[in-house]
Amino acid sequence: MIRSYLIKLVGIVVVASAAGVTHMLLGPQIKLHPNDPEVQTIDLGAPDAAPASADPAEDPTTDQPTDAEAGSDPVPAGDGTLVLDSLEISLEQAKALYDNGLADFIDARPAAEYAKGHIYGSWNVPPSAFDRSTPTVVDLIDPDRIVVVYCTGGDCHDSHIVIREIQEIRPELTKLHVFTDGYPGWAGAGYETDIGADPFAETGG
Amino acid sequence: MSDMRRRGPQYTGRFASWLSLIGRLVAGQIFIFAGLNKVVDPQGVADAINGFGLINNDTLITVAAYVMPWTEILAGVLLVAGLFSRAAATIIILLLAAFVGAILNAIDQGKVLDCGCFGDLKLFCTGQLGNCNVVQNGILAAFALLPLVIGGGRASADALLQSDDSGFEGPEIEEEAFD
Repeated sequence: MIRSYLIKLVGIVVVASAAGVTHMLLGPQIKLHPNDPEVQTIDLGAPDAAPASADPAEDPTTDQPTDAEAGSDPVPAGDGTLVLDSLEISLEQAKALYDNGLADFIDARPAAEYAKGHIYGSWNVPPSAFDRSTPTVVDLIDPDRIVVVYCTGGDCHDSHIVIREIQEIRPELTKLHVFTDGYPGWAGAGYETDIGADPFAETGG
Repeated sequence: MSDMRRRGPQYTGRFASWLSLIGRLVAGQIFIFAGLNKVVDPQGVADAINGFGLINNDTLITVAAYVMPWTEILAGVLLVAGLFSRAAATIIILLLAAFVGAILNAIDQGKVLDCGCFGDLKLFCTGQLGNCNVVQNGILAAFALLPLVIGGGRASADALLQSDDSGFEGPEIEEEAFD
């Protein structure tokens, strides 16, 4: 009796595996990681060299806080160069980009988490925002701008998913990075944060 | 129970047979629904598996993303049909146990995740992954446990096959353990 039961058990697993493997061979290829960004060497002594968006009034991605607004301690001119040669960037690199106004920040956490606290000036684009349509903010990203995406740090994959989705929609964007320490790292370091929902998230972003 | 004892084993058998049918239909249909939602979006399933962080091999994640939904669909269909009921119920309970383990691990590590239990849909538990998902899977496992313990029961292919083999109308419950 037990033998018959085990045969049926194994049979179900074998048939399901065969169906799954056939689907895998015939179906779309799964992509777990985003493409690597282009290598950039940024002279922090000349932050003005970074291109800015044409019309800040119409482009929400340029609404990053100035150093005065955020009350931050900017990286001083002539402090050196910032090399971004990998997808993932550190807290120091993210802070340097933020302080010099070189990047737009995207928070990939769910809206509820974003509302509780987020990097000042960041936009809320969780992976679920791509389920039905393209989030508004993605259409407005300036290809010349660096985009830093973060979530809860650690082995959180939502930033990677958001970057991969953005790359699928706008392959011309090659300056997308993951801030690996995420919001806990940023807030833990005492850097500028804000609370409240993202108004653009309500309209698809 | 005392009422069942007064009425005898035949009544108890009929009651158990109905319980098995209910367990089969509830657990089976929910797994078919969950599997169908996942099978159309293997990328989403792979992202969900990746999010839990329990498998670090891309190939394994990809294989799991394609095989798991088909396992859910097949086990669900067999359970609803009452064919190989105990084996199908075992598969479903093992899957649910694995899900609960992964969920508890994610909660323990303070991860903010979507369950991915029904693809993009949030059927019973809204919000982020949490204790609701553990309770949900526990209730589903309880439904799946009924056909595992009782057998195919009423309106099952198992009972039909058994009655054909024995040449009479057939018992309400499979008498042979784990057949």
